[in-house]
Amino acid sequence: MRRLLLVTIVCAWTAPALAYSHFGTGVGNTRVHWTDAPVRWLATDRGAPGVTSSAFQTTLARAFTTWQEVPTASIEFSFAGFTAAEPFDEEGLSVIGFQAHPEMERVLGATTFLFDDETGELIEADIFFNSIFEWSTAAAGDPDRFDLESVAVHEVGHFLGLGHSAIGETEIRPEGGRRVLGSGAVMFPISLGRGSVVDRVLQPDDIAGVSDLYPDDNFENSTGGVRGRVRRGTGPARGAHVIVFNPRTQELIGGFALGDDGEFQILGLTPGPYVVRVEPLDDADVDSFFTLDSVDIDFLVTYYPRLVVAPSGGVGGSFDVTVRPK
Amino acid sequence: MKALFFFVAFDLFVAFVFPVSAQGRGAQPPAAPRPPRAARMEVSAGAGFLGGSSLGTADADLRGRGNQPFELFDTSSRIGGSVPLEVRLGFLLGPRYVFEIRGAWSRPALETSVTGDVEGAPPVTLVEDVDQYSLDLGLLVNLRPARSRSLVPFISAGAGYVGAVHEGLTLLENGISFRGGGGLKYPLVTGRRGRIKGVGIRADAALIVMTSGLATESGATRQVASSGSLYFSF
Amino acid sequence: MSDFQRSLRLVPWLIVACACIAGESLSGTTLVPADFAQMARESELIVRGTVVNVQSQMTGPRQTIESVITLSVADTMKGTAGAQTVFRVPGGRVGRYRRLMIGAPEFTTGDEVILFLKGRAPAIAMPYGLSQGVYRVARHAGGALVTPAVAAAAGRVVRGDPSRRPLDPEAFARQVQLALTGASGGPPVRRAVPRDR
Repeated sequence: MRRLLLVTIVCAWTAPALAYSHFGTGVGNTRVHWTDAPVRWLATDRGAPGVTSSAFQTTLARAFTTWQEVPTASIEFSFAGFTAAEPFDEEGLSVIGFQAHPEMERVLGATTFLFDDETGELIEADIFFNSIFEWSTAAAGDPDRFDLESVAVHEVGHFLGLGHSAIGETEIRPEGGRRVLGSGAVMFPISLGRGSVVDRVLQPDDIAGVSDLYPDDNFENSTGGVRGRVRRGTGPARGAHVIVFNPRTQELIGGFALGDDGEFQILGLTPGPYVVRVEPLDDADVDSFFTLDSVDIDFLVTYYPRLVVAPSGGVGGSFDVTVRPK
Repeated sequence: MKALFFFVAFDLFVAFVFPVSAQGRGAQPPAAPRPPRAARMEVSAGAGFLGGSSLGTADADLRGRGNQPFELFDTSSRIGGSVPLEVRLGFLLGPRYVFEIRGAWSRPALETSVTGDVEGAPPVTLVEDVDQYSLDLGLLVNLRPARSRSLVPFISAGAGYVGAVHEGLTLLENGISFRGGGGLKYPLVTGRRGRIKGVGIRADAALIVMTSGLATESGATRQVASSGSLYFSF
Repeated sequence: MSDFQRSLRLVPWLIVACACIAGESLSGTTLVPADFAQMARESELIVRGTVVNVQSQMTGPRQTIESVITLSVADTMKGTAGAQTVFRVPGGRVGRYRRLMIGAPEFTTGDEVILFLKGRAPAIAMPYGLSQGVYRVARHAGGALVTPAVAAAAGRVVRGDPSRRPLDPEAFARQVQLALTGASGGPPVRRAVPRDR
């Protein structure tokens, strides 16, 4: 098959590391990871109401640059031009553009991957922004429209292989609908709403994620990790959400207990002592984070009773967090 | 590290006490009396109390839609009090001044209190035991000459290295300490002939300021220290 | 047309694939979620059942890969459904090529689910909010539990709320009725079908 502008190979990864790590979208035992640089992307040659194709491309370029400029990560992107192709066309091009999807009326944008299952090759990754919504590229945002750059930064995070973060708090509004009160990552799946531009800026969880996937020369030696198990009674609390907090740097970074025995591992941490907090995903659309045959949500928020230290250039010893049942 | 400390202290004790006791045996021809040589060194060992210090507060904040913080929980951290063991080697620079090398070990607890959890988890204090080693250089100034059975006040100051080894030998953090204070010496024996010139007890009090190490990102810690020790001068 | 597109066309257009992807984070959408009552109100069909077939196909004028899932219906909580109903989700595998939409739910034969579906004929329905309308039923020795738990009341959604626990399918169905009744103020809109044993 003649390769077009994009040739990439997915790094094969063994199952245990994939099961534990928060970072990295995977297919079976394969992790989504671009190995060729720069990663090329194309923009559709049409905009949407309120957004010209030129403004669209400029905004997307800023979103890619946001990830590219993470100092502890090493990834490079390149705009390869405008195209008449559309996202989801199976043509071997990574295309980003607007599309109208009224059947996905709750979805602002989404990222898809096309794999060759026989070789494990990542053929293309596409992003669509749902043009049934009103979009803005204004520098300060528009209170009545969704900020394109904020959503683009999120979708580009998926494009390069990151999954969703569950660090966030929401409320049900009396007039209906669900709203985010605060989030700890741009990769939180729910939008902050019309007018908000804060998700143009990455948070520590995002930075740890992209650095874990695409580490620069010094990242692995200068950061560490913590690992353990989440238990409820004598069994695992699979699907528990684990957050670690560094009181010195105020970094909040999360992971999930996806191992068969409730194992989790959180990497990319500044060395030092951490607070470990475990909570159930009992408020969430769990499928947006992971798919497990059973997820334990029947427990209370629990803190591990000791400070846990992330070493420099390694992962600390395993520990058990025993959660309290509801 | 503890074992090494006690081994060295014991060796010093054996090296100096036994030859001193041996000098009393055997006949010596009469010689003109000479004044005893002044002591040139002091070795002391003791223990004390090192007070705790705040390491500040930190909120675990989420980011709201307008970039305002939304607090998930808040924390307050401190180094707990501990009982350090310390040894000193002093070089007497005359009747008043002593250049000191001081080594100490203590095991404070690093404590972080978590409160205000947005999901209503009860407050909790999380603890980690840290091995803290220090080595500093300083100057002690006696405020009057030492006389047997008479208190000798002094002031002292020093600076040096503090290393904190976290639980499980996971991480070593390096810091710098500055010490200033004073104390009292009480010579029990002075002007002796032989290897040991004097023996006494001393009490120290100091304010210790530490930067980096356990104080990383929280500015400087301030800890009050006190100790009592037995000293030998040679 | 690229070589790649030509290679896809050589693949028989009807290929049954079991999208058996090992569980790992496949999240990748930006959502504007509805609350539970809103979702119940805006869905055309709410059913509980078991997945009996997953079929991936090329679809639409641009030949995108999507999967059509057949559900054996055990209980209908809103709308009209026969013994089986079908719905679709983006992504799937056709020949050697697999398309994944991050955030789209995945199904395998045997999955027991409760679905809030939106979309009227001739279009094939999709889960509400892509994955928001998907609740999974896990059966174990003590019974069956539906996850995620229902967050219905207005106000801050507290994780670990002791009053919000996974429900058995019957209790979940009552929550759906409460949401529908509360929204319309009228009698429940539900049509029962013979229950699965």
